[in-house]
Amino acid sequence: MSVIEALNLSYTYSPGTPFRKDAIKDISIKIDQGDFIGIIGHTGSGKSTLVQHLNGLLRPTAGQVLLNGKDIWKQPKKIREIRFKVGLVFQYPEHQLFEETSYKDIAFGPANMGLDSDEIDARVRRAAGFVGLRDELLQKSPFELSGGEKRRVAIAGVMAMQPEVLILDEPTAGLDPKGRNTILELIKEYQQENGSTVLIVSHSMEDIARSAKKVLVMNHGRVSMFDETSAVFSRAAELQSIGLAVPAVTRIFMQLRQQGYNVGGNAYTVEQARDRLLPLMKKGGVHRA
Amino acid sequence: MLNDITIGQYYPGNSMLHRMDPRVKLVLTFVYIFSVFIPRNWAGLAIAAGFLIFIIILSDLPAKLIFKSIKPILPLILITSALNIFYVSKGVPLFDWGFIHITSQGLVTAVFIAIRILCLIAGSSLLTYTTSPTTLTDALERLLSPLKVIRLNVHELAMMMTIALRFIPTLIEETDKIMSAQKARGADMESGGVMQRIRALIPILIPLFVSSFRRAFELATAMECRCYRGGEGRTRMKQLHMRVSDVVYIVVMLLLAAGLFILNFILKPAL
Amino acid sequence: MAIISAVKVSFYYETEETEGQATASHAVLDGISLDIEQGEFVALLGHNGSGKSTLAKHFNAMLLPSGGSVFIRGRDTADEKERYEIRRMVGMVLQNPDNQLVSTIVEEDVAFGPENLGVEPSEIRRRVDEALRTVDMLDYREHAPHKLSGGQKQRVAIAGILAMQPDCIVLDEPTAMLDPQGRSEVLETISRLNKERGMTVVLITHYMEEAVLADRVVVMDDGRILMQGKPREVFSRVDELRSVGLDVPQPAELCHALRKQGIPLPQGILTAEECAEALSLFLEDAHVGD
Repeated sequence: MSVIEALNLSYTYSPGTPFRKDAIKDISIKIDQGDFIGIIGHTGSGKSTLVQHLNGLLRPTAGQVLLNGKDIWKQPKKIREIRFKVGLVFQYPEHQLFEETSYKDIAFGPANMGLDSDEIDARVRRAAGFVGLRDELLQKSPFELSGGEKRRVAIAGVMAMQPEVLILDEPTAGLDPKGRNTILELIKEYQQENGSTVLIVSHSMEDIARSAKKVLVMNHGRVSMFDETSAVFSRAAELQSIGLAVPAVTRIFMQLRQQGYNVGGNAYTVEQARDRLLPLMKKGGVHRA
Repeated sequence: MLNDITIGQYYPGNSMLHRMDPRVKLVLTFVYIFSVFIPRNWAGLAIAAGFLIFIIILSDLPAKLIFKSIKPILPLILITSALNIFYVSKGVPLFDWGFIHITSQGLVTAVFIAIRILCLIAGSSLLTYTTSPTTLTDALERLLSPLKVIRLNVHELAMMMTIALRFIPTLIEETDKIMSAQKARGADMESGGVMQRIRALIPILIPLFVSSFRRAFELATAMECRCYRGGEGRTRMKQLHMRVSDVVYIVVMLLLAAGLFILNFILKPAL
Repeated sequence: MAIISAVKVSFYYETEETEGQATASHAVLDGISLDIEQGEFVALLGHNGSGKSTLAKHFNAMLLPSGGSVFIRGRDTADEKERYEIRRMVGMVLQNPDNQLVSTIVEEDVAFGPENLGVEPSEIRRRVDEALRTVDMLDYREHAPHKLSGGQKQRVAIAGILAMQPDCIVLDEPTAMLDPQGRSEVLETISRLNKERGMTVVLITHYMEEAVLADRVVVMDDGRILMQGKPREVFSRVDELRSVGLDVPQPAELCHALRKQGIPLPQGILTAEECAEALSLFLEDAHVGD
């Protein structure tokens, strides 16, 4: 059974006013337990609106969100509980830090769940471990930490709720290459160790290509594609037509195929490209008549 | 949608009121408010109120807008009027029942006050509806600039106001985001008694404060990069020029005030 | 004379050891010498903490060197009397698009700089219109800044600098907070400024896709210049770049990976097109079907 599902989900901002905006239209998708999904789409395609429905921050104008088969809005007064099961890390999450110590900030989520202090402690340390936060940093004020450390504290704060589904909105925004790698690696490890379902919203095709197993492509509020990563990136021309850039190696492969070379399907990481090309290449070069 | 809320709700248009020099508009609004309190007779009051209605028509503003500005203070008007009706003891007694004494003078006073307050509020709202916040701040800065001599840093005050106005929508948006992020971690802002709700604001206010200080620092840096060093030596791209029409408006308003003043001597006072 | 001339610039922040021991110094910049010539497009590339932003802040006297000097067209940034003129000559665009815009209306914000300089009002008007036209935002001149996209805000910020008629524009990670569309808008604007109008541009970034646009790439690490040269030269040194926490564009990385396996691909390949061309020379035999 799918862990989280959207059924004919639609959301309109400011209905009935001149500022009305259809953010998402008629979205139906099934996400299975343990999936690692990348969500891509141009700005305004509805990615953020969609994920805010999955954790009950936004209430659908039409359609339903099902968590383990149950409509999350069946009991509107209990919607907070959904947010503990579907954890959402916003973009630039370091802006939400407020507690005296990083420990307390990470504990905010679990504390809101009403857990006892032993359980909270265990969860905080576990989450801190996942994001690679050293013990001494836990006792410092979050405002004393570096940008990268702050971000990891914020992510730990959501992981500490031990949600079934973890959603991260642009987790690598504003980071340099080293920082990006660190965050992506820790997300991958988290997913592998816990077997939890993870969704990453990103503008970086390279990031998605490296981590996600499935890709959801949004375009103007609707789902354009939802398939295995390799399948989605093989439709490079389509992606380009809806304004999304494909990784450079994909473009290289597209060009080679256009010129008539049989290089197989598309590659989207450098490692893939190298492995695919090597057997086809002649080391001494090719003599051209 | 929250982004469209601006202080004073500027309503764009091209009426004579919109095009009036904002300094003149500001000063004349005050003159008008002052004038509303001059008349002590019905004729004067009617003229003052009638003048306002005439200006409202000239401003091309929908009547609904004016009512919107009056609505919030209707309770205040009712209370003030009631106080006057029940507690003014001069004049002809009209109604006696137990401790309730209503006199003719009480009624008159109540009506005068009610109309004055209405005119005051409607008149001020005309100012904010037809002048954008930036233009108002600008007008204030130029009007108050002579106060430089008593060491009042007018330019800095105006700069503060402009920056505040510029960032209000941004801060509202940011508050929204912070609230969503904390709600996503289970923050509950709805339930509980007063103390609990106040405590629930801490995860919102602290990040907001921190980010505002950072913003202020970055903005200050950016301003210095653009050679800002206070008001000294600054010029302004937008120049305000008084036109003949502005002079006419000033004359009209002064005549109104003077006329109302004179009427007080000619007619028998109602108050 | 170079527009910007950094001579053996060092910079220290005073920091304390966490145990509260005696103050120690941490050299953020260590004896850097760098010249920026008129009309150049220079990219300062480095990971966070390499000192690139700190160096950039020395170019308009926002920071003063602890050791060494910085000269802008011969004027010393340490000289307080020169500071004002230096900030006019070297315009700085910062990372956060929101926190640079001061006014409630776009054209008033662009006018902020010239107003500070005491420029005559009708001239300000002319410069504002010209600057907005250059960044392709003239249609938005009466709009409110908070309603603009990130890319649009940054272009307004650039216009605000252009209106001051600087000799050089320094942009400190201007696209770090933008989406791909905003990023390409800003880069396209910067590129055009340099190529069509000869504006000297210094771009501080950690994105190599941006650094490839420059005439010269200066790679910084740990407060020092690691290497500099044309983009092709610099990006062919893949292992060195990787070792300081930087990536290279995918095409360069692919060629490097293949070269390691013995395929003698040429150095200096940067774009997907060039890479495909170079690869095809080794693939002719695998060509199946005609």
